[in-house]
Amino acid sequence: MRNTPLVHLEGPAAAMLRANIDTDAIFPSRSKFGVEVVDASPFLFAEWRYAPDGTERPDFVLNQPERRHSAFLIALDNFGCGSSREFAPWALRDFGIRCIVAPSFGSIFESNCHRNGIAPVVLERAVVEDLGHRVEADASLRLTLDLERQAITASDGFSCTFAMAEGPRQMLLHGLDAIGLTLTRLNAIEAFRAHDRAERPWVYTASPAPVPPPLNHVGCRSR
Amino acid sequence: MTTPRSLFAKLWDQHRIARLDDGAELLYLDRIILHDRSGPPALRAMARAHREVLDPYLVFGTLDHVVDTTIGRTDRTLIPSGQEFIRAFREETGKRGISLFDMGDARQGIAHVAMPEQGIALPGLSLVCADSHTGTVGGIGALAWGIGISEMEHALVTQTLALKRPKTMRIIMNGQLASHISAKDLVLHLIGQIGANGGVGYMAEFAGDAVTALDIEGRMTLCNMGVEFGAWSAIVAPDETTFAYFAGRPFAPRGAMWDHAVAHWRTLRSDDDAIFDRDITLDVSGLAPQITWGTSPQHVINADGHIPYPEALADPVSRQTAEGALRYMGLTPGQALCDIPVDAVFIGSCTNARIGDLRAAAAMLRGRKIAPTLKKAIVVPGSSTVKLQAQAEGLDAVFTEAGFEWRESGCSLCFFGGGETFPPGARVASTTNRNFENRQGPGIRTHLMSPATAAAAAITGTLADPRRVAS
Repeated sequence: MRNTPLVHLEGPAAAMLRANIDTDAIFPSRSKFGVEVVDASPFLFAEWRYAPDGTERPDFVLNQPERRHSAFLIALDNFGCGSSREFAPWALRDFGIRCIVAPSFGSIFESNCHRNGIAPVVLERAVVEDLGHRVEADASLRLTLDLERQAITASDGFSCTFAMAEGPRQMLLHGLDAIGLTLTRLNAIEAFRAHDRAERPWVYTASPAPVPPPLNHVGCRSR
Repeated sequence: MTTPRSLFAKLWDQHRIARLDDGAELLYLDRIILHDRSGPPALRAMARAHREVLDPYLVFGTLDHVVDTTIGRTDRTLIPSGQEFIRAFREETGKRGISLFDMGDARQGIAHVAMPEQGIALPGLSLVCADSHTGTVGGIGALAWGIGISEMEHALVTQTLALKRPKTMRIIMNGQLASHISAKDLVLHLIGQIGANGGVGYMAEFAGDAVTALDIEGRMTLCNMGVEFGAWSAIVAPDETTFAYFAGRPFAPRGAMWDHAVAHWRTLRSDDDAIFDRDITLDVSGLAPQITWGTSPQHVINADGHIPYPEALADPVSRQTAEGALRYMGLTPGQALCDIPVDAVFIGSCTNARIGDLRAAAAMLRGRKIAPTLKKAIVVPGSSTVKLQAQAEGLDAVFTEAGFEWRESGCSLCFFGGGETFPPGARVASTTNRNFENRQGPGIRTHLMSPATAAAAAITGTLADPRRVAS
């Protein structure tokens, strides 16, 4: 197990009804963070969330008192497009958002969500807009995700089902470690490599590096 | 009779180890590329889980995102905590015998520029990098795609990834390009036509005589921006131009091994009757230079055009996005694009910093000066090898005599990492791939264009039509 299993989720929601919200917006690359990120949530939507002096912008949706603990985010087409940075789903997850509803997602971002315990739910744009407008109109609205039944409901009676590929769904439901699963196939991988090496030998000739890399002008190679 | 297959299907099938129960397929990876931003967290996460790299000889690393591009650079970077990333990267790759192209090494450069240039990326190979512009390498006929850090960890430990096969789209571009028109104009025009999400869920193959007429660098520029219309990745079938490009590259096969490889590469093309889930055909003869006006690459018009009126857009979401973009960019509908002053010019990035790009910009700048109103004008070669080649051709002198700053190689100001940026509120003519809000710095207004167009803008000090500036 790698992530907290996601079977049933219930909580408040926030809507950002814009298309093409990119990962630069979700996690600005200027954020100061180290190699090992402990909590990425302070950087979430930093450019939109904070004024230049570092104080919160009160009009930004996730700064509104009722939305600060949102577990759901509703957005329009192509959410998470752009840079592959996994810091974006980490920031969302660390903030507490574990389900994002949109008509479509950036492909790397969608895969990153699956691997970090966030359910990216794809619905028709009209349904997303309907749900988004309900969320905007009523800050006390609570949403529920049932990943076993593949359904989303709201406390005002809204209800719909969605499709999700079986692999990612199982990964989310059980918090599976994808690497561990693949390692159970190590024999098949090694057999493939042995066969492939005979078939396409040139693929394996690139190493080790033919030219030893020289030292740089400040002598800072440490290898 | 066998079913006709697309190039993508051939490559996918060749790399498939197993079909999994859930509809996904386990694919073998021929090359894994690490950079200094996503590499260290992936290697550290792997180490924390007490796992090892399956085949370090198939893994290559380079410094590009974090490393400074100023002359005389050291480990101490302008990007906050960049030094920690660089040192962790050296340490983690060194421990495992992974080749790292470090500062001072001529092979160092932006991953997607350096790996094909060295012959590490080759036609027909599967290749991943934890970077969204990895599809660039599709320009050489490789199956290359961008992944996240968790996927990278999976790739390092198992030399595989499990994924669902994307749908296929073929984009045919026909016609002869006018002078000063490049691959960048082609792909910006395409994104303007199909939108920034026009390729979501698809693997795109570029074909047609306008594509095959491009050199390898141009094909990489085309594929580089596949992700900017949402495509999973993009590819151009390898041909004689491709084989000629790779002959003699440092890591490319030699002798009998080379002949063996080329014989295989000749089979890497879509069968005549291959079916694609979607077909797009564009006539690009007479295409004008393209410049973006907004905050999405789909906000693009001809260089001699005018800022559009959002109310003319039928779709309410597009209209709202366009209105927001105009506010951010500080522009008014109806304004002539060429009248808009720029504050800075950036020539660089994995999109447009190869030797051909620098030659095109230098041809425009030779014997001329940049506008005195410019506050910053920099050229950042795509790799240290490109830099040395440009210097051997005297291009560095053309740039510096015109008033440009000549840099070391890296991603540089394609994105703002918390260190160097442009003057506050600057409007930038940029050869990069993303014009997102705040991408190049807080409040910075980015206009995407080709190297020739950016050089023209540097001369006039405004957004410009290179056909008029060249004369």
